[in-house]
Parts: sequence; C-alpha cells; structure tokens
Amino acid sequence: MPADEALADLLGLRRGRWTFLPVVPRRIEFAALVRKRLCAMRPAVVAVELPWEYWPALISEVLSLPNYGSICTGPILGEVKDPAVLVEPGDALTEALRTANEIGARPELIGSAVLPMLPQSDFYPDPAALEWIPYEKYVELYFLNPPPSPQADERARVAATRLLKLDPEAETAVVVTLPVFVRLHTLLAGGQASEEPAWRGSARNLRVAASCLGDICEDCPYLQERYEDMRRQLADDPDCPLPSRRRWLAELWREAETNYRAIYRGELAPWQRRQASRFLERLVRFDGAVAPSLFDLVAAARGVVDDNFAYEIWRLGTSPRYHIDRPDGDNAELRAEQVFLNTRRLRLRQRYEREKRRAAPRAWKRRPARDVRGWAAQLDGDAICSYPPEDIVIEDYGRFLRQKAKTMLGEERSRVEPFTTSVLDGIDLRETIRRWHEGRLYVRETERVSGDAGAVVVIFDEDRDNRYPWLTTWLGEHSNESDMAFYSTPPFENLVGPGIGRAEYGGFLMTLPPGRLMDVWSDPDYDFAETKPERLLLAALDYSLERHVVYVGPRPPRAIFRQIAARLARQIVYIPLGALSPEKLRRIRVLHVLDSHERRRTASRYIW
Amino acid sequence: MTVEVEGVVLHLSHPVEFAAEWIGQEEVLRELLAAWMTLGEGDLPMNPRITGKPGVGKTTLAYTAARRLGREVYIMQGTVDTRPEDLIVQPVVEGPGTLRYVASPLVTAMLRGGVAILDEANRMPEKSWASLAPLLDARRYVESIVAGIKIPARPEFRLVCTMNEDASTFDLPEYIYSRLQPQIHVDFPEMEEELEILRQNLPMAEEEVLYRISRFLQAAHEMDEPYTVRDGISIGRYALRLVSAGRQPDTAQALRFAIRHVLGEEALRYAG
Repeated sequence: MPADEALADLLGLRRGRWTFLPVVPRRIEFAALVRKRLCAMRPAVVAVELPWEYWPALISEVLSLPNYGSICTGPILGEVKDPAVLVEPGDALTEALRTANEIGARPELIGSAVLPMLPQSDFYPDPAALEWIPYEKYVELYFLNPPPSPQADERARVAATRLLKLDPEAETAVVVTLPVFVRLHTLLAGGQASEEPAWRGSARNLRVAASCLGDICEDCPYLQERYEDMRRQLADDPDCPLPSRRRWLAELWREAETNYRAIYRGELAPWQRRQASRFLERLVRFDGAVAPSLFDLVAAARGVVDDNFAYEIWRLGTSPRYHIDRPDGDNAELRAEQVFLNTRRLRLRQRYEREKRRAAPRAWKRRPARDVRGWAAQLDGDAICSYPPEDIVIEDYGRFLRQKAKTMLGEERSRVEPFTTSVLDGIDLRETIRRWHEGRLYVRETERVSGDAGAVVVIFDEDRDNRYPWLTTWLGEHSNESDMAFYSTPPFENLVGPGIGRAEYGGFLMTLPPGRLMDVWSDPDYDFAETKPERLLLAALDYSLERHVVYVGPRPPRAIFRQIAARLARQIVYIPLGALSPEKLRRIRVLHVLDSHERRRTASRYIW
Repeated sequence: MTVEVEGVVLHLSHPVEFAAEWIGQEEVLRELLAAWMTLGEGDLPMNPRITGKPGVGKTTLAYTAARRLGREVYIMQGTVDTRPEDLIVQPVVEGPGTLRYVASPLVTAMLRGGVAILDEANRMPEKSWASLAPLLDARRYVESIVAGIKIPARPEFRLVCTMNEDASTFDLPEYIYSRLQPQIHVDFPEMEEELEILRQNLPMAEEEVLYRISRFLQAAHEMDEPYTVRDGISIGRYALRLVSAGRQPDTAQALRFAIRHVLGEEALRYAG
C-alpha cells in the first residue's frame, strides 16, 4: 500500500464507502484538489458542508460561475442582512458542487444556515504548501495540532447528523472544512443523529460587484481566474499538478511591471527587484507562510518601488476578466467585514491620499475608467500647455540643483593648512587629530565661489536610439517660471484623460529669466551638436546669464564643451545622475501635456 | 563601559529607555520586524527606513519594534552638521596630550548587538552617509578614520532610519537609497487608533474631549494638513489647563482657543 494511502486510512479519510476530503475553504489549491479527486473518483454522491437551507439559491449561483455571487440571508419579510456564503470559482466547497454537477453525482448539503459560517475565523497552515507536500501529509499536520475553532464543534454536530441520514452504501465523497473533519470522527463513531436546528430565514441570490472583489476575496481574483483557466485540464489530466501560487504571483508581478512601464514610464532597477524579493521572502516567513499573498506583493512593491507600482499590482490582482456585472446595476458592494474577521490595511498614496486594505479602500477617490478611444476623439491640440503642479515641482528641483552645484564647487575649493597666523574658517579637527603626532593645529579655508548657477540641463537618457522623438521648446508663463527645451516621448501617444497626454523626459534644459528661448531644436547655431544632450548644453551655455551651468547626466560632457564654455566665460558644473535621489528623479521625469488651457481645470481628475 | 577594538579602547554610549508604545497600524510594525529577519545562516537583515510626516510616530514605531526583539536600543539624531566622525568614533580630549575615543550610539549598537535608530537621518549630508556605506551592505563594518580602526557589526545588530518628509532634508544618492530598503511609510492613524493614543497621553481628559480632538485631527488628515496626534496632545493638554485655571468657561471653547494658539487661526476651520 502506498505511503499516502496508508496515511489516509490512519487519518480516517476513508470510512466504508465514504471518502472524506477535508479542505481549507476559499483557497485555490484545495479547489483544484477537490476537482481532481472528484473527477478521478466519480462518486455517486457528493456531500458538501454548505447550508442545506440555501439549496436553490446556491445551485443557481454555482451554475453562473465564474461570475462571483453570494447568498444573502434575512428575515422573511425583512431587510437583507449580511451575506452568508460567497460563491467564487476558487472555493473548494463550491467547486465540489460545481464538479458534482458536471460528473452527474448527486449533491447533498450537510451544513446549516443556523450556524454562521462566515465571517471566516479558522486558521490553517498555508495551503500553498500543497505544491511541495502530499495532501494527506497536510491533513496530518493539521490533525496533529488543530488550532482552536470556536464554531467548529456545532458545525461538526450538524454535519454528522446530516451525514448519518445519507445512504452508507452509496459511494460518497464528503467535502468538509478541516476543523469540522477533525471533530467528525468522534461524532460519527457515536452514530446517533441529533435533532436538526430549525431555520426561519430567507435566502436570496446577490450578484457581487466587480469593484469590491479585491475587498472580499481570500484568494485574489487574478489567482482565481488563473485557476478557472486550468479547471478543464484538472478534469482531463490525472497527472495535472496543483496550482503554483508562487509562480502565478511572480507572473502577476511581471505583468504589473509591463503596465508600470507603459503607464507610468517606470523601470525597475535590478537592485529594486533584488530588494523586493528579499523583503517579500521575509514577509512570507514572518507570517509562517510559504507563499506570499497579494497583500504581501503590494507591501513589497510599495516598500521598494513606489505607490504607483503597488497600485498596478493591486489593480491587476483584483480586476476580474471573467466576472461581468449585471447590466441592470443590481450588483452588491460588499464590505470586507462581511466576509472576514481579520482585515489588514495598507494605504497607497499616489497623487491623492487613498487607503487600501487587503481589501479595497474605504471612501477613496477612484480613478476614472480608462477610455483611450473616447479621449483621443476629444483631442484638440491648438495650444498645448503644461500641468501647473508639475511646473512647481520642476522649478523647485531646478533651484535645488543650482544650490547643489554651488555647494559642490565650494567643497572642491576648500583647503586645509597648518595653523600659522589665522584660524581662517575654523580649526579642522579631523586633520588635526589625524596628524596629532605633529603637535600642530590644522585650519580650513573654504573659498567663496564667485558667480551663481544659471541654466540647468538634466539628461536622463542620451537617446542614442531615438526613443524620445518629441522635441519642444516652451516659454515660462510668469517671471518665476523657466523657459524649457526638452526631448521626450510623444505625450499624446499615451493619453491619460481627455486631451491629457503623459510623456517621459529624455532630457531638458531650464533657464531663467523666461521669455528668451528661441526654438533650440531648429537653431542652426547648435547644428554641430552630435546628440540631443549636446544641443541642450550648447543652448544652456548660450542662454545662461550666470557663470555656472549645471549639467546633470549619466556621463560628463565631452572635453570640447569645457573649452566652448570657457570661451563664453561659463563653467560647466557636472553632477552625476547617480548622485541624485532616484525617487526624486522618477517623480520629475514624468510630465503631462494638456491640449489647451481649459484642460487645467479638469486635469487633476485624471493625473495620478 | 569600554570595548577594545584592534588595540584601541572605545568608550561606549548608553542605551535609551523611554515609555513609548506603538498603538494601531500593526501592518507597519509587521513590515519592520519582517525586514529585520534573517532567513538562515549567511543571510543579512535589511536596513529599512521609516518615512512619514513629522509627529506620526516613526521613532516610537522603531523603538517598539526594537523592544519586541528584546535588544538594547540606541538612538542617534541626524542633523545637518552630523559629520562622519560623529556617526562613528569621536575623539575627546581627556587630559594633557591624551585622547579618549567615544563610540557613537550607532557604533555602540554594532558592538553590543543592539538596535540603532538613526533618527531624522535625511537631515545628514551625503558625506556622512558615505561613511556608512560599508555598514549597509554585506560588509557590515565601519571604518573610523580618527581612531584608525575597522569596527565590525555583530550579527544581532539591526539598523533603522527614520526620515521626515519636509523641505529641510537632503536627497539621498542612489547608492545609499538602494541600501536603505524597504521604505516603510507611516500614515496618519485611523480615528479609533488616534483616540487610543490620545487616551494614553491624556489620561485625565474626558472621553468627549478626546473625541473632539480626534474628530478635529481626522478632518485635518482628510485635507492632508500636516497636523498630527502630537499636536492633538498639545491641544488637549493646553485646553485642560485653560479649563482648570478658569481661563475658559468650558472645554469646547478651551479647545478652540488651544487650537488657535497651538496651530494658528487657519486650523480652526477643522474644529467644527
């Protein structure tokens, strides 16, 4: 006898013609396991621990899967109360009914509506472990040390009562939750059916709104729909492996990266992937789990990348593809508290404060739905302009760079010498101690930098393969706003709202005072520039009223530019791109272009 | 207490102890403790940074997490003139011609296997950060130029930085930024959590007063105002004193008065 079968006998998974399949509800691994076993066994009866009182409502929801539904309870003439059962594709109990229906087995419900099945309060070892250990081993792990489950005693009593009324000679698969299975042993051994509790409520179907699925699903809709995709294979192929949660979530992460690149122009650095993976592994271990949850993924994305990426993971994970809201609008927005006892929350902050939990946010401002075709139809393009909040941010950053350049120059020019007649700018304690044996004091002199920093050039990408073809020069709208010349991606190829395009800078030039900049891109004076950054730098040297021109880039400019600068009585201060905060750079690198000034009034609704 | 490293005697700092308890927002505590975990031999803990507006409890969070590990806690305040030697080992003149080397709280934590909280770390300039670069990666040591020694961190050593989100801070360069991961963002607490914090800090206040302060703070949070529970505590303390001194007839008016004088006239719009 194989080891797993021996263990199954030992655990009491077989009792006469009954085969028990204890499960963790609402987890895809167990849904897959139940389907696989039922398809292999082909039993005559499938007994499921779901309330028998819900029968007609329940089966109609099961038949409309993969749409998500729920059964609501309430007094016969009263108002609908909290939902009692959520019917979702990745739940083992509803999967048992669904498969029974497909293989022609007779369904029997052995739970009762008198006992509240939800909110869910049972604790289980991580079901993702089924990818590595046999099912029987998992059941044994639970069996050896069952966690307390206050409601399970009563649930097991009802299940035992209803089971004892079934035909013991019929080949029956009994699908129950693990806490109930643990308690069923002794109750079935007693062999006496007790009285069934009377239920005086009413049950009715309720289609669940797609927008709240992230809030109420234990396994996120992304995982459940991946499971939905593999259902047929589970039935046809006895060797089909169980779902791999870790692999599917890794694919979700990769898809989110693609979206993040397309929507936010964001790129994950190798160290970000490495650190996110380290953090994720720790979050998983901290909870004693073996695979992350969507919540962990969002936390890691937010901790190592940013809130936009975290949002993208959340959005992908919780947006169903198969579920369709009822067109008549009769879709219920359920709350997390209606189906969970324990919720965790995490707030994501994009442009506006919003709140997230395992579940979706409470009272948050939702993004308008994407309607690229509709937005494109509204594109005007007569007088493009910038989005003022971004102007403020970029002006601030320009000021910061000018200040940083001055500080760098000052540091470069400071010198330390032994104290003779003047303490200059103060005693250099470090040098004095380093040369303590000399018995002399050392003093520091910081040379003042003459002249200010004027034009600023920031190069993110030297654009040797022409990825940033949009060449623009625009003038400041008031005395504190710089003239700018930049090269970027074409903004109206990535619409984020009506007449609102999102672009990514390849590089830009800022210069004050405003209103002076000619079209840098067609100016023949700069024709000998070999690249776009060089053209911007030439213009910066040309237009800067101050002596120092700040140049930020991945590489310093060619030596010839130092000579050109010197001829114009200018000096280039080079700041390596890597010396600046990548977080800040990411924030300023994205710009939004509006097709008219009127758009500014509505732009904040679409720009995140 | 002293420790000898490579023949140099270092005088250690003292751990800190204060009565602070993190209330609510269990998720951020979980993230911080998870980041500090090591997953077996040879694995290194992460160096998280806690961000958030002033007064949301970043230091309290770090302290609470450190205490949960049962380790000694050392807090080092970052300032705009924090120099590398302040962070590592400082020479102090002990007598004629002799020096004494004093280990910073950070280095003491490294040597004792404690937890170092680098408070308001982004107020430090880049040069100071550069001296910590080897500590933040797999090397896990710092070099003291003034004492001429290399100081390794014990495996139990944990580091966390807190950072404010205001304009008076420095930007971190990428090589430091990539080493200070993950970022754990602390947001304003929920109303129930805020009420509990107020209750702990204003034990003499009636529930009605706490509720009013909490409602004021929540209204301000909605509009992303920078008022924090720390301001709420100041308002509560001031209002209670005003009432007990007979300067205001009732708590409602005392609270309005306190809000105006603690946060300014413009804050009154959230006072209801």
